[in-house]
Amino acid sequence: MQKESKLNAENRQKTSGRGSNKVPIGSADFLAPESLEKALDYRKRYGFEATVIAGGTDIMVDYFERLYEVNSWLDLNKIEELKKIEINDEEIIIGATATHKRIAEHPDLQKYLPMLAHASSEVGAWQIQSRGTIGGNIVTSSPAGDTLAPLLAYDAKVVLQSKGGNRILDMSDFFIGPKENVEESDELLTKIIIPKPSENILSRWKKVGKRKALIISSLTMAILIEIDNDGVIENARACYGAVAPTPIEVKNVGDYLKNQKLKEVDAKKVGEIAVAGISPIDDIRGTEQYRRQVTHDLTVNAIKEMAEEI
Amino acid sequence: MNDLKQVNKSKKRVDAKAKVTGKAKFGADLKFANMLYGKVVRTKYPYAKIKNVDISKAEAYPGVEVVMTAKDIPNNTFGVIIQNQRVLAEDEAIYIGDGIVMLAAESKEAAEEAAKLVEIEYEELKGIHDPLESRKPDAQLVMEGTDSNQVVHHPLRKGDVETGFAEADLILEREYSTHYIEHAYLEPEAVTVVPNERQTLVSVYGSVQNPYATRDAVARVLEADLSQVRIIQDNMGGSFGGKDENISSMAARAAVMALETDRPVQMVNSREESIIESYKRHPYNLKYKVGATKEGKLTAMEIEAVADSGAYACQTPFVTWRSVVQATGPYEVPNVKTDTYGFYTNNPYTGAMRGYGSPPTCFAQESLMDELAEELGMKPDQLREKNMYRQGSHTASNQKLDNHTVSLQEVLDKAKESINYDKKYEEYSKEQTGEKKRGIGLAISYRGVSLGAEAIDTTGGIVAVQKDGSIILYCGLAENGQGLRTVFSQVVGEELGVNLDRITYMEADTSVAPESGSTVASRSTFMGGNALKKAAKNVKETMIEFAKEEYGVEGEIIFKDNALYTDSGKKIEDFSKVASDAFHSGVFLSSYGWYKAPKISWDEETGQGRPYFTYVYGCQIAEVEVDTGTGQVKVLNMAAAHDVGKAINPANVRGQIYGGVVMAVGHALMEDLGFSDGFINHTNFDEYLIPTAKDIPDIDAIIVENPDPAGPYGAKSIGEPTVELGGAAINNAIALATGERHYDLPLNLERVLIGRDLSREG
Repeated sequence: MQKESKLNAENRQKTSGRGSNKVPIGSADFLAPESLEKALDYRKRYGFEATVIAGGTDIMVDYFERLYEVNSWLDLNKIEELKKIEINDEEIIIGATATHKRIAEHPDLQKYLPMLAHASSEVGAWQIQSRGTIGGNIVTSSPAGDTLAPLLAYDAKVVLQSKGGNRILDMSDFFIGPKENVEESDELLTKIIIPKPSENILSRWKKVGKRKALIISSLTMAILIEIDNDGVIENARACYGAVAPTPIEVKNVGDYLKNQKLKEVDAKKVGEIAVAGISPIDDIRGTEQYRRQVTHDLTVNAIKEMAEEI
Repeated sequence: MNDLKQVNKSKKRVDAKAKVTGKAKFGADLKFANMLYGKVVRTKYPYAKIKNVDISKAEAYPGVEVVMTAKDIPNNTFGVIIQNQRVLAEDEAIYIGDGIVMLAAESKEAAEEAAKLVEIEYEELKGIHDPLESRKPDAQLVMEGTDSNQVVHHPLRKGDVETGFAEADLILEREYSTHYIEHAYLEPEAVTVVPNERQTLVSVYGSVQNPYATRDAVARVLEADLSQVRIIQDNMGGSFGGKDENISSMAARAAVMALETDRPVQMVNSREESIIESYKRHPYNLKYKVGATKEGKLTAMEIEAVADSGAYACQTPFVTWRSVVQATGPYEVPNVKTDTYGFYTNNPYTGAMRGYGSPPTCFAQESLMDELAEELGMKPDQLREKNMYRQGSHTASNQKLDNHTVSLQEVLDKAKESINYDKKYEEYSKEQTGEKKRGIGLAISYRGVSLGAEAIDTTGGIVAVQKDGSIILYCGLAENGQGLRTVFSQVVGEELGVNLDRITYMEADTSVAPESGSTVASRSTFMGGNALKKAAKNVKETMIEFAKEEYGVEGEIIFKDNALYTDSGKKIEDFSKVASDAFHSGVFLSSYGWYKAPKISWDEETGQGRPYFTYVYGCQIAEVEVDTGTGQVKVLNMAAAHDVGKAINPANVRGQIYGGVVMAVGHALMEDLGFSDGFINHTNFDEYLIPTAKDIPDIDAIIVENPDPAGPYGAKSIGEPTVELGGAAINNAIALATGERHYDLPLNLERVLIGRDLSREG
């Protein structure tokens, strides 16, 4: 039960935990570097005292009617390098400030990473997709971030850059809790590296929300299965959002599916394993019981549909 | 009538350009010299004793001009029906929106900071949050000075239900519940009060739905004459019934502070303040018992509807009265026993919301009819056709429907045809494989036009032709976004043969226009249209008389295309020239029109009589797709057929239908205050979800026209009937799709998937 009227409490949701505990440094600066190098200089100098802004679709909501609390801004929008999307024989490299809209409409990403393209087309609404960036979605680190389950399923890595050098981390190592991640105060997330998926890939993406747009997901699911020419599963990853403190891969699903013939898989069993691997809570977007049931049903259906597809 | 030039045409809204170009001023846009900004400190708890209030720190904050509590208010209570709403709470707070302290400062920031410095000592008490608890004889009392929590009880008795149920082959008993609905107007409440302006004590500007109700409240609180309180309405960013008592309260607060400081005071709610303080649609608990023969003839209905009035009486007595009249739905039932109640609780108070008392009963009764049809092995439309009102039918209150066209068959047929009901019903009744299942469901209704026996039903208007032939209209009814300025301009334009660009409908101003009752109950087109038509007719007669004499014409004179013509089609003079000539000859070219609604009657003991002078009829059919893996419901199509008598502006009527359908989709599927134990948890639109463009179905808005003898050009009403049918239609469609019936709103993901809403207790 709520103890006090929400009017007297903090009204707004917070989406980025760390930026709000800044100590003002006296001078208020708006930093908009045109090079990554310069941005990393600022980042080192200001640390968390400058709030990083890309699309601003989370941060502007966070600080609605109290923008004055932000002392300095580090704006990444003028850095062309961060917007690039590159594809080579091995990898797909997406710059941190590529917008959801560009990703959703990119023909190669639609081809190679359909779950990511689809998820990007379901973030918020047109306006948010046009402003919001993939890097922002990752750094905000909401367990419900729409692009996160697909990125996990595609085995993405994130590049954290600082003056001192680069760290390349598995996505799964980046998140440590709701809206918490391992990014240090002198680091910027600059790109996402995704191994180019093979030809024999099946995938299923699903977003569940209480309405069709402008909705924080109640649950997301991204399942990827790689099969050989005989229909035997070589590799599988079942990833979910909004069912645990961070977006997660349920590794037991992959382990269970590996080396099985997809057409012979016991889909119900897969659903059970998936549910056993999540730890949902009750919140306004759904209850624990609802999330468990839907995780089960969506997983079972996804496996069945994929089996029928081959 | 065949040669209409203005009426029955989809004229462009007269205020569209100002609104889309941003020139139109809304309540919060106003600025006055020397203006202060007001702020209210509200309770922390839904029910608490206020032990001590310390305003000293707030008073000392720089820029603060005044800090006031209940004891500084001349008269602390007001209300449209029962005067028990408090401007500020004094000894105890009885719901979560109760204000305790108000203050005004030089800037919004100073007001906000000062509000944080008000220190209130509470003793939190255990409140009563369920009307079914509140109705128990030993329940603690919510309202001081009462001997029970009952706000009102409306009985209706027709025939003998015992006999009726004895004749039945099948009896169904079902319970339903509906939930709080927030109006969700785009513009939160805004008021500015200017003291000692223009010969009055206070001028109140703002987003006021019902200027006369607000005037009553402000005058009562200030203990001032009505003539000393002037309410001027600004453009409205939506209301839907929602800017009445809460605006009255805000205006009264601002007025007290404006007089205290002798400076203008502006108050504007944030969305959170708006959602927490403003009244909501009543949640209802409904019990229905229906008996029918195996042939499908209804023999009896017994209904009990309990509405949660929250902390104040507000409009509960009238809201539950509309429920008692319409509770059986549009069906001939020989034996009826209906009781509707309202009870006080420590919950948000409840009042007018588009649809008033009918959406809850419609949801229950039209869901029940579908289930009854299923039990009897009949198609849903066939059961309805067997029992629904036809010309000359008698209603539950024994009113004979014979003074207008009873068009249920027509609206049903047209809606069915539009959406291809029969074929889809057959298809979706078969076994469906796969995750996604489709269904189709319908609902029909009849609805009384205007206030009915709630209150005296009169409206006045003024048509003032200027010496250049342009026309100014005044009326006490208010443009709340529904298109009334346009509709009234069309009615007057038609009478006087003048195009709309020559006509200006003034904002409602209580010191100028005649008191016209509230802009509620879908009554404005009918009532205001009749009043202004009368006024225009009077002016027309004056001009005819003048023209005959002045220009020496004989026979009939025809007003059209901004000019006067003889009956043979010869142009006499431009309208503007006639106006000018008449003015300079000393002719008075203005007139009042006063319209009093046809006679009605009501017996409070038996619920018998003629509660409304005419009715409108509607049918809506929803086609849905249910994702049985997630509980997501997609409304694919809606057909909505409404008999409006005559559409003064067909585009506007369709707009009303689209809006009503979308609202009903939101109410049925997703809107949820996150209410628990007196607290409101969903205080902005990130949590209180309303439909987006992507959630809106394809809507076929079907206008059915059977002119009413008493209506202006035959027009009746459209605003509210559009929102009362969607809940049941969608519920019935989901039942056909999934094979599972639901009895409670909203039909959110969890309810549809698991069968109950897990986030609520129960």
